[in-house]
Amino acid sequence: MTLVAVTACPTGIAHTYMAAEQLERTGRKLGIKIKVETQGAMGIENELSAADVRDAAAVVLAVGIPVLKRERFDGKKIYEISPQEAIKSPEALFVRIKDELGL
Amino acid sequence: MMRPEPVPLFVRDLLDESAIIADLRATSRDAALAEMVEAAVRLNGRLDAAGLLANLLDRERLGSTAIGEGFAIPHGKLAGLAGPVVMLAVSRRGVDFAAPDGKPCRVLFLAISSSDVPSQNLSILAAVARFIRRSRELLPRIEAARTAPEILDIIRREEERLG
Amino acid sequence: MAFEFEFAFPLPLGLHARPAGVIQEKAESFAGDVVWENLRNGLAADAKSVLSLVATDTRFRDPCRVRIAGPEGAEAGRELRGLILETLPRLESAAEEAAPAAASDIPRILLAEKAVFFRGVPAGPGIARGAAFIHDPGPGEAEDRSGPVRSPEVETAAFRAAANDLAAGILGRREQSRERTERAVLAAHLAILRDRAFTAKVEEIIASGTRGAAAAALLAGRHFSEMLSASPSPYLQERMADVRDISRRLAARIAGPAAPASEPEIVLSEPVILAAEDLSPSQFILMDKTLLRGLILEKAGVTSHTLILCRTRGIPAMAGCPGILTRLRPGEAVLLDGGRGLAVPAPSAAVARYYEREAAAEEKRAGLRRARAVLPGRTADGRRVEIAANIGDPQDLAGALAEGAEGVGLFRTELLLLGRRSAPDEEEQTALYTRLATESGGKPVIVRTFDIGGDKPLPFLPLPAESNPFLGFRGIRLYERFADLILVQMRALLRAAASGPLKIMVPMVATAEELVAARGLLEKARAGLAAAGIPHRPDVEFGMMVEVPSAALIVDRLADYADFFSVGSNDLLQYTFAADRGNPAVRGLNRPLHPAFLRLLRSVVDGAHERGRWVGLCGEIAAESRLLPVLVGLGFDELSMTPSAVPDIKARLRTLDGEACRELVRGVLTSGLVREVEEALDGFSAAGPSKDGLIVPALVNLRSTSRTKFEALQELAALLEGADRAADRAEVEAALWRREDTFSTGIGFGMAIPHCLSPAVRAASVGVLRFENPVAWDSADGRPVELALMLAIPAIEKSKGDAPAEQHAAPAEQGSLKYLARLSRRLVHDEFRDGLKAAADAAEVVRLVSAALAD
Repeated sequence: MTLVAVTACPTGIAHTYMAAEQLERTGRKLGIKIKVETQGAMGIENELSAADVRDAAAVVLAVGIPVLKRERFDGKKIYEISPQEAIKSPEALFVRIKDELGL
Repeated sequence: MMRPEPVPLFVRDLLDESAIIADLRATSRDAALAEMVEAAVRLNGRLDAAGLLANLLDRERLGSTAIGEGFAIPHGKLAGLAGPVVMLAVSRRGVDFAAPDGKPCRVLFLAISSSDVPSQNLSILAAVARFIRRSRELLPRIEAARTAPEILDIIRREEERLG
Repeated sequence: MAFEFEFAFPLPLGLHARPAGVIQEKAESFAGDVVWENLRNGLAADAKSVLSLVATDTRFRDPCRVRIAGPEGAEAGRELRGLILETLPRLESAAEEAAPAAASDIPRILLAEKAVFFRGVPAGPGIARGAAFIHDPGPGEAEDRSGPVRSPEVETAAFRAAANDLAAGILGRREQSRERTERAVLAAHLAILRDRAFTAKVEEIIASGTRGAAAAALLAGRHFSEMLSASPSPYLQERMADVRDISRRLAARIAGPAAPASEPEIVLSEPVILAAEDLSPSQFILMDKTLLRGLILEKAGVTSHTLILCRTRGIPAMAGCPGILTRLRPGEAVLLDGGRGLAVPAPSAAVARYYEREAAAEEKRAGLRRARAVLPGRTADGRRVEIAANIGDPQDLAGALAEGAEGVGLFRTELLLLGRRSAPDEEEQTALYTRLATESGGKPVIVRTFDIGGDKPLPFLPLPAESNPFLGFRGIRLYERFADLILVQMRALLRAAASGPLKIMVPMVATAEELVAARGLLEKARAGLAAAGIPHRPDVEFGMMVEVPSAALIVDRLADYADFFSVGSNDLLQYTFAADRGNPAVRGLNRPLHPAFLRLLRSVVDGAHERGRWVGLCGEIAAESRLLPVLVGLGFDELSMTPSAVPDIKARLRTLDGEACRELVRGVLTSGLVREVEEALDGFSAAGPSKDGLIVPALVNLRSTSRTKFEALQELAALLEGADRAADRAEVEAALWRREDTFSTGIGFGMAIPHCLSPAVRAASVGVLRFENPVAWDSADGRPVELALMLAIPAIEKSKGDAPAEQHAAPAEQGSLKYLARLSRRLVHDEFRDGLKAAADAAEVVRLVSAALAD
């Protein structure tokens, strides 16, 4: 299963990157491929391509502010949580996604 | 954690030529300290001149670090120092350091130690004070020397003589 | 032919005294009557009277009509309309910048503790604690003390003489003032004193025969202040205080010095916070200040002389706090936070503890300031640049030295002449210059000989009226005609130089011939002193101002006759671009970063250095931190500026690499556009800190005694300031709180990562606190926090109070943002967090963080 994610927070200097790191390392641990785009103070980094989104089973938005280019995810299954949740309990999120998508 | 008993320090081990100002230009206390701090910063670029000088000036405000007979041991503590910083300056004109005996200071030992190692400060000050107290001829000999290597040589020999 | 036009009033702050003064001045130049009518409230005014204009209570966007009678109606009308709709808004925005800072955010602990507190205008930084002492002399204001009423003619004459006298005094002070806000306030005072409506009212009362001049002045003052007090606008209320002030001073002046003092003396018996409606400078000077911990004034702008005196003595103060006299209980404990403009009566234990820590941080800041004052001006790579002060009064010398000035780069002597009927004699001048020489503590003082011209008329110096005084008969150009005046000054300077390091500098030199002639005068003065056996110093250094392009181009030749040079950049700029710096329509042309100006400066510096001469710069641009790399790169030996700018410029200088500055200047001298120079300069400043610079041991405290989040954020802001990385501790603390307001930065795992983007942050930084006792942080997992790691980033755009999202990281910070993003990523790794929590000392924390940045 592959996932894509976007992280973003109000100041864009801390939670954005912590959440990104947490999602990536938890994905590695659980054997789930996840590509994370950050929308922080440095702008959009590691941007998700149309192909990335197309191939993803679901989209995780770990955001505290409105996401830029949200229309890319129209029609996809979206899991929206706060960046704090992504940092605090990433496993729970991945388990929930697995359960719901029946993977 | 137990710390080992501090080994007695020698002044000669704390100084090298580059840490000696053979002819201090400043004549006021604050300017003298600033000149020494500037020299220390040149030796160790990571030192923060303003923070260090503020620390030394605050210490002087509590009471002069001059100990009389032309000597002063200005000192301070700084967080995160890798090792102590010791400087020696000789003033040919004398610096008014508000000494207890009213005499202008001719020889200044500056000692900055790490605030993370509380005992370090005391052992350095003890070493310097002990050296000055025991060596009666120190001041005229240092004053007779003109260059940093000469001054360091005198300190070495004097300390070795005293054992 | 009358002419009228209608418009919506364009100034957001309404028609207050400053714009009213500008309108009045223009209206005065028309022959016919000018009537201002506010169509919202129907109030009409004589536009040739400031008070009358102000009394129309004209506010932002009020519909107004102006009617101009007389022959020049139409043309005058267009001029006036242009002034109101175009010039005024520009002038106003310039004045806004000079206004005192608004109170910073209120410390959160006051809100959390539901403390009672009063807000005012910050008027003197610092924390003070003392018993409330209410000074309330009662409602009776200074009354007429001039004795029996004389004939209306005599009384009118007395009034006019006193008004002229007072105006001359205020004019003199305004000329001397180097502070824009203060000058503006004095100008407003002057406008009131010369106001037609005010004068007419006083003379009308006198003419009634029942009152003397002094009483009439007081009555007129009361009349207008009551009129203004009807307005809800705080600006009008401030003007009300001005009107009363002026009328009282006028009354005192009419009564003469023999009149008994009406102000009671203040006697203190314990450490107090003194609260008063207002306090005159003389009351302040006379009282024993050893027990005065702080001062709160109900009225008075922060430019009042009492408050200036207060700041000079380092006494915390707050102004503009109406009603506080009745709300403080005499004797109760009061905390005064002068930097934020807050007074807290009967503080709780937690508030008191917060403020004890605040006071400690303040003391640390003062210690750093003292240290910086002693350290010499030099670049990071050791290139020496003397940082000196421009002053005009010997009284300002001590203050300038305390700010860290390494000398006086410009002492303006013409201020000695203003408001006088005759020139000061040799003895008086000798005494004054000797005071400068002896009180400078061995630091050099450059005294500029009289720089006078048609724009500053003096009763004892008959100068022709000129259509363009700045291109006219001024400075050194009139030394030949007024040789006696200059000879006396040079004799006094030579005599004073015997007691200290004085240097002499002549103004406005355009040609070598002028300089030679001035040297001749100096020689004559020297010969005279020698012949009379009067002690003096014969070999005083003699230099010149470089203000005229013709001189700037031949500095290497002028070096035959001058020992040193100092660029007067204000004038050199306007003469280079042929743009009057007082004319808002063209002054924008005077761009110091224009390549033409840089080339001119380069030729001055090179010309001087080629001949082994010292060269400084003493204009306003010396105080502009942004331009510093360019001035250093050009090779100036000295920069002289207003004393308050010295600490910041010295601090910035220490961060610059002298060689890199030279490279920068070399690279831009061939540009043709200001924009290219600006871009190069911004790029230079953006070189930013290395990753090693983000954290230093001074930013780490592993034994923090902070007990609450309030204290923790306070401590982090103080750490940043202590490491010389915050321009304003309170603003950093407020910025950290603004971030906490969106959601707590407690991330769980016993850790918090408070962070901020703020213009008050000087350099991107990481700060670390490890708490002796874990601190509650409203964390995601409810656990208290053992370790706080702060990320602080400089931001552009100051947004006080409104949306913090308006602030963006400064473009220069892209590099540090990358490092901080890397660090944030490391924080979710337990090994990294555990390493920080277990670190033995600050050095180890610095190592761990630096390693994480380098990953």
